[in-house]
Amino acid sequence: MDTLPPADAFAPAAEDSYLANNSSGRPGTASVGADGSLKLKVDEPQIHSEAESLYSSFSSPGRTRFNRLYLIGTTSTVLSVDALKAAIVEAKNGKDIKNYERAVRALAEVAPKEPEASLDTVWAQNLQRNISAQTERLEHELRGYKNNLIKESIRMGNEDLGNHYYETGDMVAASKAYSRMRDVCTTPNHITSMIFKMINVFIERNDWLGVASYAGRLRTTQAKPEEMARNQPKMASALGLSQMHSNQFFEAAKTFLSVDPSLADTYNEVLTPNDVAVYGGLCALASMNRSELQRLVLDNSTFRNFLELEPHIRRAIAFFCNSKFRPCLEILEAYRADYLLDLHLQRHVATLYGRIRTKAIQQFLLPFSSVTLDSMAAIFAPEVVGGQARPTGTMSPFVHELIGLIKDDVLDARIDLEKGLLVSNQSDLRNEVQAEALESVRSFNDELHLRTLRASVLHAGLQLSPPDPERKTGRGRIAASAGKGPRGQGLAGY
Amino acid sequence: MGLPSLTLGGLVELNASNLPPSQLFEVLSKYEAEAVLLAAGSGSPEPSGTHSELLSLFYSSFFFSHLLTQQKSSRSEARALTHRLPQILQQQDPSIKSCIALLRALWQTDHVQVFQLLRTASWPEGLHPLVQRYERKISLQSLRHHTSVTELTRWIGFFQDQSLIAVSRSYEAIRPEVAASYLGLDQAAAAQNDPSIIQKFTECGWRWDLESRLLHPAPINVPSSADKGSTNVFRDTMAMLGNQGH
Amino acid sequence: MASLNEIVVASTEFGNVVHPSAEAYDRQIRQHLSFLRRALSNQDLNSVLNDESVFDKLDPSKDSITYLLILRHQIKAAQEKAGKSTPAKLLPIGGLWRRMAYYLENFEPVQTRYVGQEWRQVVEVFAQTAEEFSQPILATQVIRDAILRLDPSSAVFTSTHLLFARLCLRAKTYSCALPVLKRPICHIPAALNGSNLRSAPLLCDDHQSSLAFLGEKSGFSSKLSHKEFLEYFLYGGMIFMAVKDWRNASHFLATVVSMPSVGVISKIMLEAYKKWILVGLLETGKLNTLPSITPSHASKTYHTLAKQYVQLAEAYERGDSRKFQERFDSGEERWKQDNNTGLVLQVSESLTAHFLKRIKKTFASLTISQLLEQDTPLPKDPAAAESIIASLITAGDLKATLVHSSNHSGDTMLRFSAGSNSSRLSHELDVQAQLKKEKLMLEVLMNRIDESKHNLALSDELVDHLRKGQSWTGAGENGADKDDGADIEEDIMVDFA
Repeated sequence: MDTLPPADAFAPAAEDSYLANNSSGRPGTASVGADGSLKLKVDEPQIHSEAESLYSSFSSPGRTRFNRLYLIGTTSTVLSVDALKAAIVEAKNGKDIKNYERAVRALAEVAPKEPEASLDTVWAQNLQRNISAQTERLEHELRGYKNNLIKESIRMGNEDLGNHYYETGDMVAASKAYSRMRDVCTTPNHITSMIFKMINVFIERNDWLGVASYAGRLRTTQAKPEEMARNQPKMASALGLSQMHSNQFFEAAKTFLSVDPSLADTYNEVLTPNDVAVYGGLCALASMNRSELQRLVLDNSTFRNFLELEPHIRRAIAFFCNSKFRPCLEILEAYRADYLLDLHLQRHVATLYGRIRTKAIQQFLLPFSSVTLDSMAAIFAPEVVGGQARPTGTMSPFVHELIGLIKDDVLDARIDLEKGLLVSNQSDLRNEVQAEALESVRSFNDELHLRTLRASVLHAGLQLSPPDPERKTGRGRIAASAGKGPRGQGLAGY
Repeated sequence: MGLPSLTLGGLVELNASNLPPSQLFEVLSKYEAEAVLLAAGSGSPEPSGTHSELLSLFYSSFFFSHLLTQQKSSRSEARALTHRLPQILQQQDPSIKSCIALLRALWQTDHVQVFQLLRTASWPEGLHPLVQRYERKISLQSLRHHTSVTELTRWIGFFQDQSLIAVSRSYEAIRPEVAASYLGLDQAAAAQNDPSIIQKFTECGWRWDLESRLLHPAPINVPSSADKGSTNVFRDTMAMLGNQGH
Repeated sequence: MASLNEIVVASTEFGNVVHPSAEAYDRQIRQHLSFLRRALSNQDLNSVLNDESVFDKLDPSKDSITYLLILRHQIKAAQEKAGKSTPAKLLPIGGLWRRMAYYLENFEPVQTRYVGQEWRQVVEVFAQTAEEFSQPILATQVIRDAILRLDPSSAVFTSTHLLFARLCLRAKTYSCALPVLKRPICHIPAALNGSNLRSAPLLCDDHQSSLAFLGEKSGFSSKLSHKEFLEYFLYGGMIFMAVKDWRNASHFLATVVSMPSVGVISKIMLEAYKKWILVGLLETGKLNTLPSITPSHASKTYHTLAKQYVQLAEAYERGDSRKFQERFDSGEERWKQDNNTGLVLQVSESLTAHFLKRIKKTFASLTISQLLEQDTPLPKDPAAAESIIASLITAGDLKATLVHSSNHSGDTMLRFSAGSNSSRLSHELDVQAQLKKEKLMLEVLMNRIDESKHNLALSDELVDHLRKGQSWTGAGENGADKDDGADIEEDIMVDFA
């Protein structure tokens, strides 16, 4: 009863992924702890939000607030104790005993002497009894409604039961209860409400395909247009989230960009308008070219409402559009630690930042036929320029990065180490066309000849077929070629 | 059958005749069958000593005619020849053994060894014209007279010239002793920047940079046998594909 | 009752005849032929006919038929007398040997169309004798010229082609084989009923396609099965490998690999597939894709049975020299068993050039020591690495230049530059010359396909044959050859390593 749950079930799937691409970042800001969980060592001034403000920004208490606090508590060393204490408070206000136990265990690891770090077993046992009683009562009531065949009561009974399971952390039972509502929904409103309940469950389970599919069903509820418009912001937010988690950054950006500002605080149990601004902005930076960013993001009057909440994202995008890549990357770097503490962003920071950086390098090179490696390093690897003896030698991380990009066909350029240049590949069109022509005539000739021969072979009846088909009763081709040696399967003799 | 039979005198004369390499090759390859029969010792009971001298000269000449033709596959073919000639020659004949050593040096692009073999191996007297043709002693001076490329093409096929052309295309700057090793010149003297050696290169249009003490070769490009009237091949071929292809 | 003299006179007359039309000529040849056959079956003539001096009175370039029939007759007699197929009389320097060579070098091709079987028998005996004498080289050139004399296009596959390719491999006269191998084979004599040919063509007429006189009934080829066809292209591929013509080798092997088949593949095909992978690496540096017409069951079987080759090729393609070495070493037994060690070694040796061609895409220039900082198959010593690179450049395998540094102990620079204008011009001319060759090939193929269309228009027979093909049982199953060319291979491929 009192045993703590096994290893943290909430840790993101690929822990090392956000450390991998940290070449230009600050070495040493992150490290993997002995138990394999991520430890961030963040200097105070580099954090733009504190546990208190994070805490207050999710005004609606509940599972999401707990999850966010718990993530901060287990990833940040600086904020760990405060965040975990807050998480314990949050858990004690709720009904999920496992969450409570997880938070206590985490706190016991970082601050075993804190009073909150020991389990309140009395509370837990009481809660457990209450929960069991409540479950029994709700199930009993539901049976009664079913006997009376009153649809609305059955629906509400299932909803109550679903909510109860959701709060106690039993997501499988919750989704079963919610889905039983489907047959007894009588109005589009009921369906909409049921769908959002389901989406919450899917988000809790990290089932992003499920989120996408239920968000899609919202469009087919036959609700009134004004009803649809009212649901749009939440629907789009949930869909954007699922696309971001599926690494479809361009789609996610477009979905977030379409969220209506009427979202406001209506969906705080999942995300806030600030999240929409950050997620949408970063996904756009990672997937759009300069003109798209200008047209679809900066000139987008509805999204402007969101961007005003996170002005640094707006500035980063504006810098990118003006080809000022260094300030753009600096802003992002400054917020890296914050985003690594974000529930949804954490596992994508490395990928998103990597793509933005690569795209910046590509866009930077676009107007030039050749650029000195030094001038590139000054923009894209300032720490390296300051800190390394040979900032643009073959073994420097920056040149290594460039080599990787060229090998992956991301950059169409070559490195001239003699002159210290990155040279765009100027295709020798005339030569290329001729070489291609030669190759295409050659392969055409080859193909033509092979096909001609094939026709002749068939015409002359020379094609291979299993010898002696009469005797081939049931034992197939192996029988036909048996005795041709140990490796005779499927091989005809000479 | 129109072919005078294979004799020592005939061979010596043939080798001295300065026939174009491809014709020399043609003529010699027609004699291979006869050589095979001689080696097999069938028919006439002549003293075998005469045979082995004749066969040694024949196969050595045939070997060099392979090298002189400069076909893409000539080295593979020369190699195949060394495999199919009579075993006794392969094992005992000094000239044939030198041929095999030479081929190995060529294969390994060991220029120093190639020149050494060409110059010091004991080649039979009758073979000298071919060995010298292949090595081509006095080519450096003559090269600068061949300003037109068509004239130049006649000269390739000679190891030293070939090396000169290859080096001129492979290096933008080269230390004199390395250049000398490619061309079989005195490396020690070249390392000392011996003016007479440097001069050999500058006569071919190479630039001698006193300060860096490097030679800057002037690239020599030899066009393939393609004639220039073929610029429309590309269009024609594409048109054919367009009409007939699917 | 004809006497020898009568035959000689008839032959001279026939040789001097002027033929106004194909029909008349056809008639004359047929008359001449039946006269000779009758005459030769006369027992009384035997003693005279076995006298070699009769050939001095005949001229095969004018009357090939008489010369050939008497030659065939005498060969047969000698064989019967000695009780073996290659009696001393036939061996080189022997009289009949010289007569055979003389005939094959001088026969008149149009008349010979009427005596295909005898012609083929002489070629076969000639080749067999040379081999018996352990000097196959004595026959290669003569047979090559004979094949091309009979059919300058060499477009119809015959058993003589296979015999010739095998002979060249054994004699190690690879370039001798090229004139035949480079003429694309487009037809295989089909076993059609003669009566189905709408109008039996006159053999002696001018024909657009040699198929008209090299058909199944002509006797120029022994009975063909898939085995002969596959072997020819495998041997041809090996000959191209020996002269390092990877492109053509790859095409020949592709022909074997993509052979139409139902449910089974032959060992020859698997053997060819293994070589095809390795040759592809030497040709393009890539694991090539199988020809689109390859039956899918064949691709699957290859992939399973030649896994080690595929894996080796994958490592090569990625330029992963460590992985390549690993797979190269672990497959040693396999390469040896398949007689591919020499070829695999060549692939291994080409890894450096392949690596440098890849590096060229990333760097425009770098020093040798900077190059060695990468993961390379080159030796770690800069001087040794430089000399390898220099020999690749001078051999034309790598387009780059080297620059020695003025500081004599300094690092040599390797530049992958676009090259001078004149070198680009010469490159362009080169490409155009090759394009011209391909264009000629295209024209040849187009013509041949026109012939095929005419030929394959007999669609009823085609369908018939496709159906018959289902129940066709492999001929030549029992004739397992003592020599499948495998032992020759190692010898071709091992370089001076």
